Amino acid sequence: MNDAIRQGWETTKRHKYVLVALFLYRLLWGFFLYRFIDAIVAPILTRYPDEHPIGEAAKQLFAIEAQFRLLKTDLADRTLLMLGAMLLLRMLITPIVNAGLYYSFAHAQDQGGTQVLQGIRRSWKKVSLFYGAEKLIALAPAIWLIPFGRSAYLEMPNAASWIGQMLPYAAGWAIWMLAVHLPFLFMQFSAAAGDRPWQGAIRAIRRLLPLLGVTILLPLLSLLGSAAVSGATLIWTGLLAIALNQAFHFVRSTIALWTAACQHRLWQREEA
Amino acid sequence: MAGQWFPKVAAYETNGVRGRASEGWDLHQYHGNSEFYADFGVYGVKIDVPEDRIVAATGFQYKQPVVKDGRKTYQFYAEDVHDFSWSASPDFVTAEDSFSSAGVPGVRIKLYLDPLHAKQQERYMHAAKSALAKLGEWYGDYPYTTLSVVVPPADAEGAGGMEYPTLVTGAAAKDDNPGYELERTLVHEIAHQYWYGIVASNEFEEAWLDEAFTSYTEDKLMAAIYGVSARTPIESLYMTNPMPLKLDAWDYGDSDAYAENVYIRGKLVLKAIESQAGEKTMSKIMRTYFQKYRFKHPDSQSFQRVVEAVTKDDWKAFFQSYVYRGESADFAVASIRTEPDGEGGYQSIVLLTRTQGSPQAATVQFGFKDGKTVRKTWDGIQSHIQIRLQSASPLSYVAVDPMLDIVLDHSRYDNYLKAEAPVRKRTKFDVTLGQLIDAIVGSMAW
Ligand SMILES: [Zn+2]
Repeated sequence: MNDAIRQGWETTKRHKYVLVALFLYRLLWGFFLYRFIDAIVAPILTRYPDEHPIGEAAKQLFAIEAQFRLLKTDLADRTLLMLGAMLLLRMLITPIVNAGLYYSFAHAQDQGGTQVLQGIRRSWKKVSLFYGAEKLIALAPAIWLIPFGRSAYLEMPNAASWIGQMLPYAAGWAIWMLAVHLPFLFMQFSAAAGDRPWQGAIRAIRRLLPLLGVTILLPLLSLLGSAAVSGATLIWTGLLAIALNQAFHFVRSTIALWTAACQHRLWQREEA
Repeated sequence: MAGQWFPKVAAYETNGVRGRASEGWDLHQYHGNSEFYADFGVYGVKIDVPEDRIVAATGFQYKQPVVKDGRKTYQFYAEDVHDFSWSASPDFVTAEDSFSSAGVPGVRIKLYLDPLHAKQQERYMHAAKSALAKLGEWYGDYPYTTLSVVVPPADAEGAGGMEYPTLVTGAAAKDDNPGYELERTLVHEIAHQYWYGIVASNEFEEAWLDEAFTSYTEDKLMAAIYGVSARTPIESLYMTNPMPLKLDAWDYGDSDAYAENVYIRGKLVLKAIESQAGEKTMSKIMRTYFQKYRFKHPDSQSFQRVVEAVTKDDWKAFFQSYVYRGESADFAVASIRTEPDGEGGYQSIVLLTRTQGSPQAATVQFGFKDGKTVRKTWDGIQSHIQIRLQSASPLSYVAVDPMLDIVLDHSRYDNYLKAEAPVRKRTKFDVTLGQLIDAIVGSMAW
């Protein structure tokens, strides 16, 4: 695994232009996302009655009203739709990036620069197919989990006990997503390299332990960083916090690319 | 349980009933979302059942039951009622007691309980007597000689919590020692005897005149007998879909919209009248309305006329907004601008709006950064007002109706506004939510 992480880092460095492009791409998204979130957060905060003359009761009524409106009206529909559309658009772009990147990873030893564009041209269709299939299978449980969670919420006396009840289901779903992701990821590697995809799936199972290692450890770094950025807003405010928030896209992009490169190294090792 | 049977004879309305210009039938098919409207009459009913059945029914038994060949025939009689219903079971645990008080000349209270609630006899009897006593005292005489209470078993839940003339069903017996819902359901159904039974409005076309009045009375009874107070502000916020109250029951769309408006919003309209007219005047309104329209099938306008006669005031705008149009008394703080006035103090401009509802005065509280507060009253006659304030310190927040006096304001969040969003919190939420969404999206896509 250490080997893969080190070699993955080399591959990442080799793809520094891709990294810069990825960073700018995410920065742009981040900018719009920030505006989108702030347009929701700011009005809620100005309406939140924390100095209200009747004190605690006003805050409770605010929470109750929010709950009624969220559950009984279409208040959140537009916001959820926008978020969903954003996710969908990014998911449509992803397999195309995958096709180029994975192809280029596979030819990292070759002379010359990166070969992202050739990869896209050669294999975007096949890679999209596997990526799409993966997401469909991974997200399928939502069809019954979301209605289930909603009706459970309506029955539970408070949010804490609802979260307690939902936790095992959420964990189960996360494990399911991971279990679907790994073989499909390797199938995408194989498809991008022009190999037979199902062999990729077999390799994923054979190298499961190191694969799990890089797939969990590296993004964990990213997540810790994320928490640190959120935490920093307790100390810094205003522009500095916002700048840090946006700059963090670089860290997240680097780690994402590095993770993919490591996973690809693990897929490649058989030939060596 | 045999009740609400169809086909049944439709009500025949004579000239002037509910504002009718010419006499005729008030004819409607059966609707899931609707309840009763029928003419008063005299019922003599023979009920033939297997010998072991105990029968509860509207009215009173005027002859001993006849037993023959394993069958038993009960004979019931009822006057001045607009429906008849009965229930039979071999398992009923029965109890009977007489009761009289001011406004209740003498009533036999008969309990027919599911065996699971045999031990709750005292609670049922106490609730029934106390409710009748209060209703007699508040509104007027209970004109019948019996009141039967049927408590169905758990698997007959659909029959629970229902009103019929001189016969009501409590909530089905599911639990051997239920909480106040036992009393709440029972006093609600008994209160129906006054509005559904005696006043007898048209529940096809203006159901609120029964259910809202009954729910209002139920809250009064629960407070007077058991000291259980109503949760009015929460119920008001629950009204996310206010609709007109004078509306054919099936036109509410789904049963939630029907129940919310007809039961809860209608009740809140009565509470709003109470809060504007005063509690004492309100009890006079209710008593006058009952006295004037007992056995008369009044409509929403009849009630409006009583409100106007008792308060000697014009309630047209109120009834238009809240009864006929189904509006919310939507007060809001629309905007705040606060800035230095150039002389060491601050000038603030506050815009208040009332986008719906009828004119009504509202308290407005202004809170300043230095902790000082100022209260003013806005008469609420116009749909908006701009208020200018001079102060030593910047304005921090404005709250309209801070003490929650305006019952029918179904959106409270906009009654309060700060001059600006707290910067630190705003950044914190923006960044944290942003990081969270980025992490989720990033786990699935580039
Ligand atoms: Zn009712």
